[in-house]
Amino acid sequence: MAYDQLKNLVEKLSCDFVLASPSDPESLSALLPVLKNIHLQCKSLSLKDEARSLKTARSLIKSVLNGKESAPDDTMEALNGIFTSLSSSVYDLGAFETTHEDDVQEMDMKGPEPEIEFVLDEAEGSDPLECSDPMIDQIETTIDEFGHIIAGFCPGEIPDLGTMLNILEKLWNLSQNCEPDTLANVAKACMNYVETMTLEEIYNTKPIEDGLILLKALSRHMKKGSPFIFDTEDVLNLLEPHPADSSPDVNRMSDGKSDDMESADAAAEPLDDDPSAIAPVPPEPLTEDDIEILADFISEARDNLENIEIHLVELEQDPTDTEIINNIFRPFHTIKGVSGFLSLDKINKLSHTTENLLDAARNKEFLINDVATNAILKSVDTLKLLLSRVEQGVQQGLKPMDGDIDVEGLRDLLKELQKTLSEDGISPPIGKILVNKGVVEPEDLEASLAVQKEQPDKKIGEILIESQKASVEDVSSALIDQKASKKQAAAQVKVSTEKLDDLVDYAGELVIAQSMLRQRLSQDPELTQNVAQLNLIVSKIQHIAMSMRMIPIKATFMKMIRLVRDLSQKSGKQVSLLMSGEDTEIDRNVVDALYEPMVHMIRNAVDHGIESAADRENAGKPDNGTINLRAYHKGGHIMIEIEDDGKGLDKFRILEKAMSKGMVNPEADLTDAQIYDLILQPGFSTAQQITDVSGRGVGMDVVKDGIEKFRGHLNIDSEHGRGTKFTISLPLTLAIIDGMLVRVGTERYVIPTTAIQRVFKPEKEDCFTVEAREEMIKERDALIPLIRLQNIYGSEKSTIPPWDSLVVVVESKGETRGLLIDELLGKDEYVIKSLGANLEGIQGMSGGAILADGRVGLILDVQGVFTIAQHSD
Amino acid sequence: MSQSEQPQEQAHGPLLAKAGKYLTFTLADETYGMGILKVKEIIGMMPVTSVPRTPEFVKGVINLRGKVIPVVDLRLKFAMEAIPYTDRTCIIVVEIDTDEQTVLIGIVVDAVSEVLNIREEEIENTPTFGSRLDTDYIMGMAKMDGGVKILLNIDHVLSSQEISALEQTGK
Repeated sequence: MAYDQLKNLVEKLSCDFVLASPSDPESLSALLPVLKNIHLQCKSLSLKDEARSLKTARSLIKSVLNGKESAPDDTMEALNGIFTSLSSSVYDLGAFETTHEDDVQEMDMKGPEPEIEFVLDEAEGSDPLECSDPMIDQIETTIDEFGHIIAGFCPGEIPDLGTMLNILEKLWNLSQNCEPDTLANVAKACMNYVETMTLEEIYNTKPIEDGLILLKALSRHMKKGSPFIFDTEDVLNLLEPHPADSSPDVNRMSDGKSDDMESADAAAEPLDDDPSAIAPVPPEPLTEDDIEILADFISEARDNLENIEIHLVELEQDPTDTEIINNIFRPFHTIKGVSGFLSLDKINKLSHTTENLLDAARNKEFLINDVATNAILKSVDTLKLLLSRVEQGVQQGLKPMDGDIDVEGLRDLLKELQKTLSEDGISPPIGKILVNKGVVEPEDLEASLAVQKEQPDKKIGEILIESQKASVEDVSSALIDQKASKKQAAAQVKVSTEKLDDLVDYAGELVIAQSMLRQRLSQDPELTQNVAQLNLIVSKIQHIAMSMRMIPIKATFMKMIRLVRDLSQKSGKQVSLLMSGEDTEIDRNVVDALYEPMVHMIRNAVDHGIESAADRENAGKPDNGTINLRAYHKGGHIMIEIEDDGKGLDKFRILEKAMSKGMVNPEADLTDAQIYDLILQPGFSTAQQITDVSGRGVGMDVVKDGIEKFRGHLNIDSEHGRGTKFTISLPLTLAIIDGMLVRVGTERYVIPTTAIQRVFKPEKEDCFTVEAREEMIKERDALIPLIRLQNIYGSEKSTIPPWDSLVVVVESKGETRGLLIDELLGKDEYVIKSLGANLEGIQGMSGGAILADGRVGLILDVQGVFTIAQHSD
Repeated sequence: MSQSEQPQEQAHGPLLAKAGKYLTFTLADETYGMGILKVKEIIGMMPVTSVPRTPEFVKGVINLRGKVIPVVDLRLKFAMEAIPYTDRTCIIVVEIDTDEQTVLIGIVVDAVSEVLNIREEEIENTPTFGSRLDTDYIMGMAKMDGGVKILLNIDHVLSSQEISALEQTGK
């Protein structure tokens, strides 16, 4: 048998060689694995001379491939010689075989059973390999791709392994429709092996190379339409993921198991059932390389998990969409692969199990139902937790400690789920969509399915139309639903924020340098024109640099989808979330600032705003509550609206409660807006029942503080019985501040415009002193204390009387003060710069700004100035 | 971090690693040196925006190509007499390692002299001057033909704790 295989291989080799040419490296490299295999066969048949000449041939080809050979034609000639002699000696061997019976028999002794069985299988099936031509072509190209990767593979190249897996997966998918399933089985076995390589750091690529040869042979036979009679058993055995003890020289026809697919699958299991690795180990220090890889992994995995969440919610809308399941499956797959390589055991195991579940769903074994979605979400949450442990570990430079996080329970749950779901099965997607839409009655669908069983090449849609159970329009619209829009994301590059900041810095400098140049312009008109051109370009660059910090608010909105889903399940209310303006761009720091307040308000909306289904029905509203999430730009601010159609705010109850808490004077005549603002006061909660979701009396005041910290504003609008609308307005970016540049003595300061109420020159008779020290100024019947910046900042006390300088009236947290300044220099937008770690946190300063002349101006923190003034004499 | 570890070993690790290239500069009549790998660049004196409520030796902040960095007058830091700045007055921009990060700080010196290759045998340990002088930030003394150079451990000279600590007392 070994001889037959050898003969076949040699035949194949000579065919391939005739087609190969030195100008086509691919054709040459394709020879290498074949040669290797023949070499092995020769060795096992103890054909030493042939083995040696094969080695020479291999090195010759390699040198041609590397371009080292000066005369490739001569080399080809030499190769031709070697191969001719090889095939003649192999044929000689054939004639010689009868006398060599002992040897050959010994070979056969070791693997007679599988061979016979396999041949029997073939005889029974007796089908030639059946597959459509384009399919075979596709399979062939895929196998070629695979071959190239293997040829260039170096041990430890994880990305290559990933590519291999992808290719094999593609191959497997392609070949599943082909009969018999030998090709699919081999591809699957290869996949399993590569997976094990990724997980267990196995560097022996030989089994894969064998697998490749087998795949090639199979596809060739498929093309010819001839039945494939080779024994695939030994290769499949080799591909079993425990090849450490089967070194290449060991006879490949060792013990043969008859169940090919099963054994390969089962072999992949042990690594995920292996409980030994959980033993508590003291944390080991990480190397710097590890830390870098881990950090990359963390951010990547986080992105992946976020994607999963989004797609899971999408999947709930249409559980039949394989594309969405794929979108969920892939990130899990990536996480599994990389975590295995990084030996993050728990992450690896959990993602593996989840992936299995999804894989089964992808293969249409069942539909992902609510229970499954919840389980997957739970797995996502656990993975997030594990990731944060890894992150902690990275920060401390230690291996993550996650002994307390239990993944086994969850994994059992997932496995259990997979089992029960598989038993339930599914009905065909298109039919189900139609039934869901109420177009087709379930009974009709059953009948049509029966018809389909008799005419398997007919689509269910066609049958339904023919039997007039559904109109053509209905079916085609269902088909559109089935293919739900596949959005194509624009290509993106990840850039570190540090680089972005640098770019913004330099763009700012460019503007300054350019304006300096403009001031020195001579009369030369051409130069003036050039500088004007430069001006245009520079401002463009600055604009782009600034806009690069902006990201769409979409990501934050998407997180809300999951939140609303969880909340509506928890509270038992039906709530749907509508969004608009997800593409509105916003500074990424502001995005972070937005997240918490939004979560809080959405919680409030679901818990307090939206009524229970029964109440809604009584009020004549649809059962399903709606929360609208809108984002748009308005006058340099981003506006986020969160609107629910719930019961709205009850102003009388708010007023009552505020009075009972003594927060408001009973006689006060308050406007609606003022009443609603009361719920933003600390210690105010109107919920009568404290639930798990929200309502502990800390809340809206925290939200308000959070927004105001970022120079934002929160506005409430409500109508009793109709709903509530919260509007957050935030500056587009935190990096830029609108400010007035003022001169005090020799120094220049920037005062944020938001704090300034007015600027005026006081009259002498409006100025007063208190105890000859403190100064006050009367302005429109209000007495305003004065602060001399020079006195609290400068080394010398200024004595200029207030009526000779200007007063800037500033406000912060309800307090009003007048700042004495010498001159108002202008109003502009300033990029806020940190004063550096050492000077951060100086009271009264919120940062520095580069002024038009390139020097640094200091930005005043009004609140800080008030505090200093209070504590100084 | 990896960038900053190298100079540390080169310029002021244990005794053995003291040898290396130093940038020397003058303050009054004394010559000082600091590890060349700490130096990012040398710029001429430029207008400095003073920052209130900081210790006296913190001259203020400058705009270094779009980045705001603090500037420290080494004369004032070493309690020497302040002199008006001249054409030769320079700001040496150095990279300081603090606990969490590396920061850029400008150092005002009278004049920058040259880059010297100082050998191990030329360096002597810092003598103790009793309690009058804190020698923590002096790495050693280099005896050269041109006189003695005082080798500074610039990280220690300008530790951020010191600046912020002084900031507290300056209130």
